[in-house]
Amino acid sequence: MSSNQTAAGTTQAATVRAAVTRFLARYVDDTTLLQQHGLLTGGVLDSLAAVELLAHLERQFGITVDNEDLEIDNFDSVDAIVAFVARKAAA
Amino acid sequence: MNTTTTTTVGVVGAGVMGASLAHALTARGIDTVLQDTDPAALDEAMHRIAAAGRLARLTGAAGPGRPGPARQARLTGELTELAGCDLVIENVTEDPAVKRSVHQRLDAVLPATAVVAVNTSAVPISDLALATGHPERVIGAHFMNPVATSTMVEVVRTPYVAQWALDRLLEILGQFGKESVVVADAAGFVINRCLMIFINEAAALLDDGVATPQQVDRLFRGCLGHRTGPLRTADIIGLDTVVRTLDVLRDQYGPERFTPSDRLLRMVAAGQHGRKTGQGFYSYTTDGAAA
Repeated sequence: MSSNQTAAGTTQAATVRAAVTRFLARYVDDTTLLQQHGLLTGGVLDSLAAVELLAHLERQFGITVDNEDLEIDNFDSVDAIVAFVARKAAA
Repeated sequence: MNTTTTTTVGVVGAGVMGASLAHALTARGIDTVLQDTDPAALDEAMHRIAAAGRLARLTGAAGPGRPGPARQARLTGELTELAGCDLVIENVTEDPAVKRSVHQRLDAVLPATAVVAVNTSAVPISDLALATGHPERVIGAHFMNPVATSTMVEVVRTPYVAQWALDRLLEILGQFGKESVVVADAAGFVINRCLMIFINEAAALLDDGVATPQQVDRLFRGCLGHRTGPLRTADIIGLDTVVRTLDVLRDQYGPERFTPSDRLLRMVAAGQHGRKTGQGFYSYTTDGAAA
């Protein structure tokens, strides 16, 4: 991978991270909670927010969340969500 | 007493709760008939059921342990289509007159062995039971949304309920993977008689300048261990529903104990009903930040 590709990937990841964090901030009283793991398993996000997150990722980033993607590890932290979007966008 | 082993459940009302119930029942392999007189509500329910299916898959709520393979809910506009159900769960709007009318019509189409559950936030069950010809089979069942991921049901027993009907309801709830606590019939039961006071006072103290919504909810989570604070919970329930529930409680217990706060009334009048409208105590619009 060239340094240009690496820089582009880093920029894209930062954009996705900012967008995901902005979206999830509506559902938490304390945005520092979004930096931790366990967004779903730890109860930071309620289940209705989780449903809306899936729809938002599809709308915002033009990806499709398939049934086989519905694994908790893909959505339990902002890091995991950013990585998931990058994988789906590259596929 | 009904001793059939194949259970069919009817769900009356295809709103948020009705769709959530239909999803959770079918995900558990229980035959389900979803009835609503509004075709648009049935269409919307299909989308909600699909979204609920994704959530259940994500959280594992539809995983191992269910009694049978997932089913497809049958949709209908006619109450007569519920005639073969072992249990019917009514979820229409929190208006005692509307509920009474639905229960009288349900009573006319159901066999005497069918059990009727009233899914309500606050409407007293006895009044509805006594409006029918079979008060012995009418029981309160207050489900939490989303149904598939909530394990507990508040069951409300009137003085008129037959033991066979209560046993049958608890048996079906068991098939449904739910635990239950059986309480007596008094408006608001346990959950909403307490919760509505929290929500109403939390809304009022915003107008008093005591705290912000975020501060209120953080305190309830941090100090009392609540999973969500009262204002965010109100946004999920819907502020219009909160006001209707407070109205029912006011009619039962008096205005000095339950009168919707000015803040709640203003927000409902302005169309700020919570998550479903994109704005409540918090903002849920595309580019909105927390209010």
